[in-house]
Amino acid sequence: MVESIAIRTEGLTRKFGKTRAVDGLTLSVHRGEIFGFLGPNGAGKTTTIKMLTGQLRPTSGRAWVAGCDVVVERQALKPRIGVVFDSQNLYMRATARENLSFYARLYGAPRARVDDVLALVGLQDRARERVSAYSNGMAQRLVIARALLHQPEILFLDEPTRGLDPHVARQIRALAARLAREGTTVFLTTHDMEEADQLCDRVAMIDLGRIAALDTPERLKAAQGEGAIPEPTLEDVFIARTGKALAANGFM
Amino acid sequence: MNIQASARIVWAIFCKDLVDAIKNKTILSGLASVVFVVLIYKFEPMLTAGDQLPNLLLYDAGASALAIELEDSPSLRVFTYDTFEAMRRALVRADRREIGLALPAGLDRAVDAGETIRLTAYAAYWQPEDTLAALVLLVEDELAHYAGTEVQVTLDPDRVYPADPGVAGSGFMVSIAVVLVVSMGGVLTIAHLMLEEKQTRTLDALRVSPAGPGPLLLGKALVGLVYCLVGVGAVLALNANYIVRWDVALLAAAVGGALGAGLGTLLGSVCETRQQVTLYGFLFMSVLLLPPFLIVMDDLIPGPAIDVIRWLPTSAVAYLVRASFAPTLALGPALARVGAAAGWTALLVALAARRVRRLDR
Repeated sequence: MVESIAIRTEGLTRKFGKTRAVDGLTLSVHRGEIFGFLGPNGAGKTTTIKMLTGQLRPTSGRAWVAGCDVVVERQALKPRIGVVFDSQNLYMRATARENLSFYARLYGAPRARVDDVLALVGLQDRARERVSAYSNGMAQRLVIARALLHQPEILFLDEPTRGLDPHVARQIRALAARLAREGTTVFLTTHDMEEADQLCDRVAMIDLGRIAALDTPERLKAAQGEGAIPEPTLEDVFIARTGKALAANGFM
Repeated sequence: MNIQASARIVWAIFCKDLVDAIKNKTILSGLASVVFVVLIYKFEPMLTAGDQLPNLLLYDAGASALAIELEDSPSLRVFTYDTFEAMRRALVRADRREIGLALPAGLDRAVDAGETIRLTAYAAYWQPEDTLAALVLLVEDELAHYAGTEVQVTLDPDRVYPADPGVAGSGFMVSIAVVLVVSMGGVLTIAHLMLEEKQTRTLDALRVSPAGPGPLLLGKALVGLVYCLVGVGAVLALNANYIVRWDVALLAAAVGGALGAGLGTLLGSVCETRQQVTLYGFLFMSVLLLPPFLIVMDDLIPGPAIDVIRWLPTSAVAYLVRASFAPTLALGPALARVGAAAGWTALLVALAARRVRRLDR
């Protein structure tokens, strides 16, 4: 495998019964890239992340993440990736520090790393409070801190800013950009087109389990701009490529 | 993953869940109910014993008239046995204030002659000395009243022990209490800990971490084992007067604790909601509590069925508990019971591991 590729899939497919949640996905993500995975609810974004992070076995096709086959080298994959889920799955009765200390032990990360990530996400002064007392934004920052404890090569962010206040969302986007500058590959799923436009180096638009478009935001918009819309947005690109209106797909 | 990393992960999960179980209100209330049941088992007989007359178990070698008169005693409940051995066996069958007495042949002649009657009394090994002293005085007074002559009762220094731990006897309810603790302890702790991980989706975070299914299950099983051991230890401590062989009692605790842990991991791997844990937990406990009762109903249950029930896991644990009440241990049957319980535990854990591995299929 070429070293510059952090994630590669070939015909990745996942079926649930007769339904193809992900259908023949083929893509590659470069090291240090912020790669956006855009699509409406039910498009297959979370299923894709689950397969790439070893939580779900593909029905067919193959994928390599950080050089590891996601099926046969699943255990070797785990220390190389960090995952921020679409739900804030923290131990609510524990403090932030206790949450992170537990995961640091799982990953074999040094204790000092807990303080480092708390400072990185701006929670060092609230570390001894129970997570149940945290706001939505604080909890999301803590989840990100957890994913960074072991300094992963690749960070998977599944809808990281959904439901967050704008200023917190901005902080998280800034953090993702900083991590990418420092060499971490970021695989981001979102339904926020503006976020993808601002943040991502490249985006893939997925609908019904298939990629409808894959390129840089600029090239996607430029290609669309040759049509009727003078200054298209990524949203316009999606509608044009999939033929679906926003409201019907439950974006917002 | 190397052994050191696996051990680190198991230890991390164990430490976290050991504390988390106490913070979980569902688990805490369940553990409290187990404690309550154990205390009721222990102290209810003592609370009601004051209302009950003590028992006098008689072996009457000479079919004496004194024995018949004693049956009218307002201070004693008198039971008569055909043989000396039958009387001694009966002494270790129930947890009550009682004493055994052997009336020799020719007693009526001695009574009629106004001689001082000297008798030997027998007692089960767990009876407290002060209780026995009071019983001896009571029996002396009652016998003297009906005999019309002085009676001296001497307590045999060799206490009576159960010959066969397999039969129901005093401390039977101790073995049932141990079975109850391991069943409930495993279900309440591990199953609810695993359920909470699923419901809060922290299990997803664990699954993408280096914690594989094996260390994950083992860490949680160890928590259940600890709580089961603490519970069993409390039962044994409360009933220490029954235990003659602490090595066997501790073995029973270890085997029972492991069984409880296995049960909890299987239930936790299968259930997705609290209602399922409650329903399946209740079914599990009901099924598990039955064999130790059935095994002693050999007069009602067909022999082949008893032979099967004997090897069910909770029957094996109950047997080991009762085996600790006897001074000698039949090593073969005891080891066989250990093997049976260990086999069942391994099966439960294997099923749980298989279930957890299939979560990502």
